[in-house]
Formats: sequence, structure tokens, C-alpha cells
Amino acid sequence: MRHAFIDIHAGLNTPLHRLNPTAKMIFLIIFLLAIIFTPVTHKLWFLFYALFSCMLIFLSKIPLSFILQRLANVIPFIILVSLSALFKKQGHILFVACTLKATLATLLVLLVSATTRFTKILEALKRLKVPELFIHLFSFMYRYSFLLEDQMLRTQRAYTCRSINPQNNFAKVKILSNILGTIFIRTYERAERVYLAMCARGYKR
Amino acid sequence: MRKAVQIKNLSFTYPDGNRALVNISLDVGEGESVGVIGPNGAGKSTLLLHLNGLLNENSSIKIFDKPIARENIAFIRKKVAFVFQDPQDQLFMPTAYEDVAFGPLNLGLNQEEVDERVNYALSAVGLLDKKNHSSHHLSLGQQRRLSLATVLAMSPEILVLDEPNSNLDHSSRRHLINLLKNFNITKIIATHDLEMVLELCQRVFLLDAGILVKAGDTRGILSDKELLQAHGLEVPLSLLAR
Repeated sequence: MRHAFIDIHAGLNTPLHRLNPTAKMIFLIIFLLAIIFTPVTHKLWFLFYALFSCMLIFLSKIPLSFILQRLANVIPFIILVSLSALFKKQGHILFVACTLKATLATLLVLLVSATTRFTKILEALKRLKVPELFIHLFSFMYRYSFLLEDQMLRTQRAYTCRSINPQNNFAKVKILSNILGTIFIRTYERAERVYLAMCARGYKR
Repeated sequence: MRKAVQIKNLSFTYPDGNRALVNISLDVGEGESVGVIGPNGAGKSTLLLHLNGLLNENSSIKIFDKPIARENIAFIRKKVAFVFQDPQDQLFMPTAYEDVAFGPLNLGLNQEEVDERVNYALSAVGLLDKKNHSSHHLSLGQQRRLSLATVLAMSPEILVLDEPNSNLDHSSRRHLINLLKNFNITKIIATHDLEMVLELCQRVFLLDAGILVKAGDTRGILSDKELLQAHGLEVPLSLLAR
């Protein structure tokens, strides 16, 4: 069971992929700031951002379906957060602003992360003087996400093997919550062991 | 012979009340290879974790005559290399290179020395060509060897291995045993592979339910059928044939 769901399209060879990761991160930060600080009334600017993002997607040769799917995972959360704006006076403008800006920002982050290997992103962050603790956290997240996925898959298989009679949805939810609980405890214990393994090799903090 | 490890009356109870070790006393000489054997849950791993000061500070354990205490912990972790049973715990960095470099970097070496050590350790275990691979793309046998490399790079004097060859296929197991044979440092190996113990270790500690049942010469203990059976073990086939 080996997956590369994070770096699926990072191996393509386009100008966007070849661009220096540190440069990419700097461009990303500049664009994010620009998007955040452009008032939502400047419609033309947003049209420009959107077209620019589309052009980058085209250049990156990453399948549109991939981008849309990833975007679809995030948009519900964006809308959920933006909804709170509707309770304010003139809230609908704020709502549109939040949703639009967050979606554009997600799109750009997606593009950078899809065109760069994760390890390269970490190197770039290191070069940009991001605190080492954060880099460690990101690298562990990357390293162990594969393991977690494998563990989920195996648990699911074991569950399927032993669930012969079809169960109603309530029972399924109950079992699922038990599975999640077990996986949480296992993950927690692994974290403890990994920390010990780090200490054993002289890590101190 | 200089004593690498001295343990006097070590007891340990986990926070949940599980008594893992009861009044253990043992010595390991410098350059000696010893096996720690016993059934599952006997306390083997707990004993090994103590050797690196990972469970708590403990004055009943001395490494090269220094007790495990806060002021000695850096010294002890430099001398004692611990390899975890599960490579997924041992290998936590994104690539093999970074994993092997982790220890040397913590020792405060400069980049050149770190590179040198990484190259040495990776070639010692035959994985130099996997330098930039991520560990989850390696086979279990390779992961085990990489785990070994991560501690070799710290040039330790005591190698502590927790079940180094469980779940390995025949050739990976053989590869690992031959590797271990070639390292002339103190080795403490917890395992169920008694044939390997026979091959690598001069002395054996038999643990059961946290108690050190017997310590002694490898052949003597491993051919004692009744003793082994009483503690959930079996005489290795190679000794039975005689």
C-alpha cells in the first residue's frame, strides 16, 4: 500500500514546476497579500486575479478535475466561515468578499503545492527562515499522513471482513466512531514513540 | 573488562500500574554482545528503553560508570544507540538522508562532517543509492537497515536493538545478522529469534513477567529445555540436532 497522493502531479515538467521553490513561495505570499488587501469593490482586479490563476492552471498542465476536486473539499468550510458575515449590516458584501478571496487564495496555494514536491516546499520554507519547529511539524505531517492513510485502509478492510450482516446507518456511525477512537489512540501512542526515537538521537527541546 | 552497562535493583511501574520490571540487576561488559529473551510482555522493551534514559532518570543504571541523570543524558545518548522495533517510529524524516543526518546534526557537527557520516552509515548498510528516497518507499528489510544507519551515523559505543529482525524474509534477516556481526561494539539485542542469539551473543538474559529469571552463557541457557519451556520459549532447532 504505497501512495503519493500529495505529490501526484509534482513530477510534471512545465515552467511552473521548474521554477525555484523559494521564488514560488515568495510570489505566493505577495499574491496572497494582494488578494487580501484589494477591496472587493475593485471588480476588475478580481477579474484579473481569476484570469491569472486560470492561466497558471493552464500552464501547469495539472488536470482541471484535480484542481476542482481539491477546491470542492475546501469550499464548504470557506462558506461556513463566511456565513457568519451575513449577520452583520451590509453583510452580503462581506460574505462575497470572504468567499471570493478565500477561494482565490486556496486556488493559488493549491497550485503551488501541486507543482512542487513537498520536501522542496519545506526546503523553501527553511530558506525563508520559518521557525524550525513549524518545519518539523510540517515534515511529520507529510511523513505520517501516508501511514495514517494505510492504517485507515487496513482498519476499513478488517471491518469489512468481519461485518457480514448489513447494518443500519446508526450502527455504522457507532462503529465508525469506535474505529476513529482506536486510530486516535494508536496515533497518539505512535507520536509518543516517535518523540522517544527523536530523544534517543539527541533531540532536545 | 570495562563495564558498559551496570544495572542494580531496577524496578519500573508504568503510570497505569503495570509492573514491568522487578528488581533487575545485570552487567554488560564493553564489546560484549548479549541477548535479552523472554515471552511477549516480559519487559524486554521496557528494559531497553531504560538504557537510553527514555523512561525516567534512574540512578540504578550506569552507562560507562555514569548514572542516568539529567547532567549525563547528552553523554549517554551519544554512547547508547537505540533502534526501535517499528521502523515507522525510528524513521520520522521525509528522506533517508535527512533521517540519517538527524542524529549527527543534533550532535552539533558541521555540514561536511554530517555528510561524511551519512555517507559512511548508508554505505555500511548498503543503502547509499536510496539516499533521497522517502522511507515509506523502502521494503521492510531496507527500512530496518536504514534504522540501523540512523544510529550508526552517531558512532555509538553501545547498540541497543529491539527485535531487529521480526517479520523479515530470510535474505533480509541474513543480511542484517551479517551486518551486526561486523560491528565490534557492545550490543544488547532483545529478540525472539533464538537462532540469531546463538549466532551473535555470548551471554543471554532471560526475562519473564518483569523478573530476570536467568543470566548466563548463551548455549547453556538455550539448550535448557525445561527452563525455556517454562517461560514460553523453545530450544532452537540447531541445538536440538546435537
